[in-house]
Amino acid sequence: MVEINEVIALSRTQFGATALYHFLFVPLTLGLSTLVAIMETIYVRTGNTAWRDGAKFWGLLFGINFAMGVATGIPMEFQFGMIFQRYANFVGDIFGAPLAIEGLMAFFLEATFIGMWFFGWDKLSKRAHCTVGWLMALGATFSAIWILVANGFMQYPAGGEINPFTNRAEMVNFFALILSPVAQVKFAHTISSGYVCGSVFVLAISAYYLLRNRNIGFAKRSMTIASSFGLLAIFFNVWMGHQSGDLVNQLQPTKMAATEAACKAEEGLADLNAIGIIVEDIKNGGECEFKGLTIPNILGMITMSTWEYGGKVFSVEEIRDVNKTRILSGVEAVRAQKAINGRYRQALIEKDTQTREALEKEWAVFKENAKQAGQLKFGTLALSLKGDNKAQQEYSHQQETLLKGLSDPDMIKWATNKYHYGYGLLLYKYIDVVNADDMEISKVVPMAINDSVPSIAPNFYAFRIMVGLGLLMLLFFIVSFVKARRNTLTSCRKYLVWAFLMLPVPWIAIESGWLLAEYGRQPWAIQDLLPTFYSVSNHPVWYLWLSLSLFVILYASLMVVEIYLMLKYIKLGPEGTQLDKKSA
Amino acid sequence: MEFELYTVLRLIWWLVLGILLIGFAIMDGFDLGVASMLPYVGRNDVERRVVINTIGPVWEGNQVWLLLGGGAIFAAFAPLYGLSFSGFYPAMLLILFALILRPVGFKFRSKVENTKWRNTWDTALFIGGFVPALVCGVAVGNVILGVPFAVDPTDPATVLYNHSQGHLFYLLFNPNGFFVFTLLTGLVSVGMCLMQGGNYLALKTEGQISQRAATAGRFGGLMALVLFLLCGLLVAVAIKGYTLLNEADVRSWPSQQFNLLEVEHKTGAWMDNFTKYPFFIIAPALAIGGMLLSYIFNRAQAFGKAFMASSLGIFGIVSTAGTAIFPFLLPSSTNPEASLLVWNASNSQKTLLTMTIFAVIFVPIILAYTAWVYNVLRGTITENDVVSDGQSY
Repeated sequence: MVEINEVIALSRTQFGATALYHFLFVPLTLGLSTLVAIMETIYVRTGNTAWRDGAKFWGLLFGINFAMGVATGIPMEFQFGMIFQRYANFVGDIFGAPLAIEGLMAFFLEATFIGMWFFGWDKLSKRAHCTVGWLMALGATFSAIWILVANGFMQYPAGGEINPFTNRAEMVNFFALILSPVAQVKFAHTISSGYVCGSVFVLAISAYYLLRNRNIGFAKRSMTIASSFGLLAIFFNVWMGHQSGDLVNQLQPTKMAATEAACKAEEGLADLNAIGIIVEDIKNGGECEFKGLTIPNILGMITMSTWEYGGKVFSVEEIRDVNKTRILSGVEAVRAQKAINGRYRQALIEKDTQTREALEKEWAVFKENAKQAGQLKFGTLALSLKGDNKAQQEYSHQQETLLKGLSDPDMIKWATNKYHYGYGLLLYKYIDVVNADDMEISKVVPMAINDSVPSIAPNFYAFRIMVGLGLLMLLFFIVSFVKARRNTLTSCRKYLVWAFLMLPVPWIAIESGWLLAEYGRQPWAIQDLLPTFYSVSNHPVWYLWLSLSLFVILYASLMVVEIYLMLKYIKLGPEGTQLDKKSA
Repeated sequence: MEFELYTVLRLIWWLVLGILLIGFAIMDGFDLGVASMLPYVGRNDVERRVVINTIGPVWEGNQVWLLLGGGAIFAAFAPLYGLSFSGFYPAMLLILFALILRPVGFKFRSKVENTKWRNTWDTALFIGGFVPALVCGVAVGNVILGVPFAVDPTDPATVLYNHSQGHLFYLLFNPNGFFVFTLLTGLVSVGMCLMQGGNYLALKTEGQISQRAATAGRFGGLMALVLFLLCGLLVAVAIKGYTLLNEADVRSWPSQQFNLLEVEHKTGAWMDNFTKYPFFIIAPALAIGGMLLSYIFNRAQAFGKAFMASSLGIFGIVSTAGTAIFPFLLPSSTNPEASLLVWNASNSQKTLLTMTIFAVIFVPIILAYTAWVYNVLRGTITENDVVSDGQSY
């Protein structure tokens, strides 16, 4: 029942670290594959071989990066099973599908055509080779779509229901899963951040050549493409980022409260805590305080999803209140699920077809009800608990929809509390929910409430770093675009130095964004459904110490090699890379 | 009616899983085999580059068979995915770290002209070929013997209790059964990859390299054949197999009803399927016939035919293991009633149906473009090609 905390922490660290590391290479793959394909298209259209050489050089750097992406991607496909066994079992019925579809649609496409692209320069016609380049980029894009459908499910579990007979979440609506608004927006935000990353990379490396006064034509050509592509991408990225924040406020209010350091309840339009420090004791009593610059009302105005509630952003204080109710209701849900499961198994053992069929019929009715009732809106629940009339009506309507046509008492109990099932699981960290008495439950509820909100500071700062750097890149692309249009890229040394120094910026922004998305969801692996501590395999601690150390050693060495090779080829430059030994 | 469709879908995904593993063994099998014989067939840098470049453009696509296999287990048999990947944790780590070395090994090796650098990556590529080939085979041996685990069905997320915890090399030397057996199955797998890789490399190269590859292929093929027969003998007379006694019930239940199996654990039980379903005999027959034909064609220098024959042989070897243990996927040696079956470890009907639709659409597309790529890349690779082409590894 109670996990060893060290195992949980190490499993999370290993998964988080390998994912963050993998994600150093993914955005550049997304961006460079597209930029290279664009350059090759210009070559095919115009016949100007300078563009082909450009495509080849950036393609070479892309290849080195891609190899690292592939190498570090393999563990990602397997680690859900290797260290998150309960997770795999609990949501595999839903979560496995997008991963497998990613393999079918994306991995094969990418992996097959990347070999063709590098080895096919002399074996394919110009057009065919260029098509191969686009297919490679398309493969990377498909990959992003499906992995974000999977991640979208973790943030907003749409399309699934917990099946009390099988002890797991099962797919009930595939289209709800793939058309989840969170998945859509996250895909758009992520793919454009990849384009931004690729563009900054090309601009920064090209600026290095211009600073060194070499490969001037090549560098200018590359910068022209990258600045216009990057400008489009960053506009789109910032817009989608805003949309994403809007959805977070609506669907993951806890993450929103942490991100904005909304500690205390306030009425009316929400204030924006722009910049400052956080004093918090979230894990022991939930106290937190923001000290710094606050701009009144602005947050409520820019966050469209707050308008439904009069511009309100829910605070940690209010969320903790609501969570108390949800945890108690979750206990009922867990018990109802266990009761149904026990009866069903008993019926199977005793070959009691009547009971089995009756339960299955109830479940079929409930599934339809759940489809109609839809997901729970936090705002509705919170306001209805506070006595708001409209919200109360909406919530009770949802409850009625869920209960329609049900007659089995356990099933009714389940339907009444099903939205809060995950909150019941939170208690498993301390007690066995099914067998505990009310005294024991009430003793651990405050602890579970403390667990139900993540630390504020990491989210608050990660968000500000991401947004700040995003705006810096927006400015950078505007300037670059104007300079490229006016053909004044080389006129100002300061600009070139700036462009070169921008090199690490997209990665810092992207990794902060990742941290916000995944850490902000805590304590959940699947939002409101499966706690992170309840997702891990029960390995002995030393297994994880061993694997984590091996990962660190191997990944660190590979990083050294990768950077060494990148630097070597960047220094050699387009003409020094043996690229055209044959055609020259 | 509902459960009949469900039964069909579960069978389809059992087959799909088999096809993916066979695809992995046939396609990536030759990459792994070529990498495993790299120190033997490539005696100097140029020779090694020739060898590496025969698989350079295609290995990445081939490896996707394994990744897709992982994805398919997740999407079709999630309980198996979680239990086996966690239960085989040390083995999975070995495979993972070996596989991580491959993409970087291929890509980085030729990028610096320095003997030490290149030798290091050659070693990495050798490990990346040999270790997965061995460990995959060892894992299959363990599945045949049964793995010590229990399942707690009352746990909200159905957790595995792995009784082998703490023994890193437990899986290599399974003390629960015949520890030699798992090593033997591991060597069958290595031999099979050598056979496949030898035929492929002999076909794709000329002169000395081709001849050395052919020799390695024959050696691997013979080794695989002899050990395969030995393993078969052991399974028939010495190793305890598992028989499911309440199959009809289990098949009509939804998944995840663990600890409700009635299982008999007795010597030779894994041979029962071949009398119960006589057409399953095709599998071992193909295995033996394919390996023999591969040897004969290889001897006759007909490497194209030898490659086809060894592919058939691999098809036979993998399906022999799969059909012998059907409907088991992962038997538990300590708690046989908790074993994972095609029937109790599958995903829901809806998920299986959805995945079937995707597979029907995309598998033909994948096969079409893979065939196109191999067609473009047809022909042999010579030292001259490698030296003159700036893009080669």
